[in-house]
Amino acid sequence: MEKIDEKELMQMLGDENQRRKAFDILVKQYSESLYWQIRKMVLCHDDANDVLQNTFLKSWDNLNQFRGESKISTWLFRIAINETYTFLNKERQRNQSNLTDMEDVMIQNLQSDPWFSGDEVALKLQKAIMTLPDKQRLVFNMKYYDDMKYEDISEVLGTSVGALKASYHYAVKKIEAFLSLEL
Amino acid sequence: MKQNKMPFIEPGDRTVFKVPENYFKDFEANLERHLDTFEKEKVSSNGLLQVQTKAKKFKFSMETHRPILYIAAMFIFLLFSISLVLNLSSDKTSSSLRLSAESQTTSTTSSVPTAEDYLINSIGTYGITEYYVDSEYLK
Repeated sequence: MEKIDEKELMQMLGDENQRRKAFDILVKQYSESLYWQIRKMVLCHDDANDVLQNTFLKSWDNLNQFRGESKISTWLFRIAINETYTFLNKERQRNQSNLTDMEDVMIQNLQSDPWFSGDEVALKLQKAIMTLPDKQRLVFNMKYYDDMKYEDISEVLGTSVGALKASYHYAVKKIEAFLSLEL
Repeated sequence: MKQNKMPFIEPGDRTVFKVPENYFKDFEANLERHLDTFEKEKVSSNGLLQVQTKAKKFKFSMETHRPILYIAAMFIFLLFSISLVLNLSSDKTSSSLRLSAESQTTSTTSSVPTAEDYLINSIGTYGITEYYVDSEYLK
């Protein structure tokens, strides 16, 4: 697949006749990286698929509102994060009405997910990560799994590098504490 | 290192999470279909929105023109009541006219001399009485 740089993509998106084609390229270019960010937050493949689909539908619908002040990848990433938070909050509300813990339900779903091949240790790690607040979990995933630079995380989340470093540090401490009890 | 204490998978390793074969290719195709449906729905909902907006506009104009409508309704009512009053009074006039006409007719009819009148006038009341009395006595 030919990779088109952001500037060219932006020009194509601005042109009504080329918009759809440009959006298809956009989907091809970013669907995988967005999927993995979402997947690590919602854990189950089916849920990640739904959130990713909503992300692209929403971005298509709001394409006119994109002013080009940030990178298109950052803009997409923000939409994906918002969609993920919306999904998690809905799940939380649904489980609250059923008097169950959303995190426990998600781990149970992950265990039965055919697209999760982790062993017991990997499942415990996921349990530990699930104890973190949503934003801290996101920071941890970006740093730990994707090895993203703090500067890049800062651009996406709109949080200072210092705060991100602190957040990651506390996240690691919490996970260590959880795992020392569990293992 | 602290990190080694944790059973962490190496950073960047996502091997515990898997996706169905050709998932991303299929996703693109699925999304295209969804986008088509989404666009169609958007167009139809936009049409509906336009109809709703028109209805809203109409409602809005009704609201702004309400005083005028009230005035018009009052004017119609006033016209109706005036016409009703006029009708009634004209009815009265016509009935009184009819009555007067009737009375005139009767008066005209009474003024026309009949044969009986002529006889009474020519014979006189006294003569008739005398006639009746005499005829009684004759019996």
